Amino acid sequence: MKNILMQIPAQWRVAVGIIVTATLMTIIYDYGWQIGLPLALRNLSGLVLFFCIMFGAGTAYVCARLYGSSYAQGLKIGLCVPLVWYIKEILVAMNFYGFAAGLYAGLQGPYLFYFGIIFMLIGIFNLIYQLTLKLLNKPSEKLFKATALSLLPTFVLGGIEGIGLAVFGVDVLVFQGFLAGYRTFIL
Amino acid sequence: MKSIFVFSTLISLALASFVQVQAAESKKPNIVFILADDHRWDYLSVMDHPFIETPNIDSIANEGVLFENAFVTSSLCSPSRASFLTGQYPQQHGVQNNFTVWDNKNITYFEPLKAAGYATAFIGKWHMPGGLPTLRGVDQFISFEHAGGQGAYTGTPYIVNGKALKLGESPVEGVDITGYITDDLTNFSNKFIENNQDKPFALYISHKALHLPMEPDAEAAGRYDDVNIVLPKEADSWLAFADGSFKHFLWDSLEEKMKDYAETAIAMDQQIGLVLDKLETLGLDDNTIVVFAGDNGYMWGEHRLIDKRWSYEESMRIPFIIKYPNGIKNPGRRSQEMLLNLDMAPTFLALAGLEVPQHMQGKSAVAILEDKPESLRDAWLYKYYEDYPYPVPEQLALRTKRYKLIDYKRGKQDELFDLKNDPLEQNNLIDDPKMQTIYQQLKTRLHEMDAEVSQPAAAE
Repeated sequence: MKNILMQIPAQWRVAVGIIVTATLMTIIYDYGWQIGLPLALRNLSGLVLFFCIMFGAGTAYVCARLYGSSYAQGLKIGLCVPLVWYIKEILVAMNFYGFAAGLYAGLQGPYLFYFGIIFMLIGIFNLIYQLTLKLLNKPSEKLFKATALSLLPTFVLGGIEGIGLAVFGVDVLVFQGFLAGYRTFIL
Repeated sequence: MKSIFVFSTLISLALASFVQVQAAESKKPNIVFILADDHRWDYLSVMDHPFIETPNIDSIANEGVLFENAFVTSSLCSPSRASFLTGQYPQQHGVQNNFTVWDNKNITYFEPLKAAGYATAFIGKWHMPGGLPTLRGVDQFISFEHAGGQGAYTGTPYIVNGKALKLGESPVEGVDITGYITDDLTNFSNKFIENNQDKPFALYISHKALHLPMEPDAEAAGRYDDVNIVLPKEADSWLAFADGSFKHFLWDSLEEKMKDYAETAIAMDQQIGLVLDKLETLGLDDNTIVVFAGDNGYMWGEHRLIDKRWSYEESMRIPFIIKYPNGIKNPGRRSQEMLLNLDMAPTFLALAGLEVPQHMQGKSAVAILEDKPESLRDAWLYKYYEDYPYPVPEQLALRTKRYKLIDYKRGKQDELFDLKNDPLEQNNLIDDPKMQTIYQQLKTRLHEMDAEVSQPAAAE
């Protein structure tokens, strides 16, 4: 076990750990009832899975930075965690709707907003990380740029959806606009 | 003197028979159809639900016939609603999912009723692709297009006979808007009954309740806060967030959402009571057919699923109760006959003494209401069309009294269940060597029925 761990680059270890945890939790969560696991345990596995999906990216990012990754590499490592979940979702959609429609399903608003939130959470985790470095009098980076960048995707997506609803009465990303695209390009 | 007596007797008899004919004409039954959205068949106290209290819907059952095996032929709001109206399968009326629009050429049961002198009204949720239609045969059409036709529990602006009203503006003179949609639709309906009490009427009350977001009124909210919800063994509290189910936006644990659902149901039940009271107060209850039904079922964790759509029992089974004091023999009964949503239109027309048009594919349930030893059917066809992007495969199913065969278009292994020994549909027998003969028989029947129901001539 130790040998396997040592083969994983230090920056990646936490990200891999989170992906493995999420996979295990998925198995317990989805199939635990078949071996009679109590509801409380299955609910707990669901919560852990949710935390992996939502906070795994931020955690993996900070840990990658602690092990010497640059901002860009940390971001790459952090995003691997939500990407695995996202690919699983697309594969489920492909299973029922075929390749093109399944792929297009990945562009639905909830997924886009999910990645927006993930970027935002990475920004918050980065902020906490940098502030901690400052408090410990260790070399830290400028806070404003990275934090502002992390908020950008959510603002852009929220702006598109908000303006669509307020000005044109159309929900662009979640259902109406998304389904219009489906009708035009896929159906 | 004798001839004068004979003459006057003859005149009296003629007059009496004329009056009787007139009375018989005016005794055409009124029809009140109450449709709930996403109401499971077992969320009624009359179905021995562990905690829900629905005294008013129960009273319909206690004075009528409760169909314990009532189903929809496609478990999704739009196709099911179109089947109720037209008496046809979605394969014929064309509303198959949230993309295929209602065809204005479709003939609803309102048209023959209108031609027979009925006052008619459709009040409430329409929600079919293509927006609000020109609904022939309907005098008063009160609906909404708010939130893509779903409406909202509070803050829905109404549209009456095609005229869009401002939020808070009432579509019915003399009726104030309360703001809670279930109450408003009830008030509009009661006014319609009041205004048409002297002639036969057909009223369709189409509730938003209990559809998401399942918001009860202030009186019912919190009623079941302390209830201990027992989930199906395969379910868990966070199911609404898992595996694509988050697209339904339940935003809560399953237990909490089930409580909201039940509370929304009792808020609706209370309003149904007001409609029943109105009929009784006006002395119309004996000659009024009251039907309570759901447009589809709802899964609360069974098979680790939420929502409807699937061919499983919790999804395709609906509450369906008919009360008609003047026309039901041995009321308070339960029928085990397999009744379908598309049987409602022909049943109404038959009860109104009208001919059932050939295009209607459903069957009249009048014989069952008269307690005659007749069977409606021994098998029927279910079809769910793809409804992108919900993660549910297209499926075709055959449901007999004992078995169910589900044929998935892709993405899932076909399933065969023995409903007698496995009512919760947990053991797929599709690969069981002992079941192969039955499987082949069911498969043949499934495809035969599919061809029969789908062919263009099927509804002529």
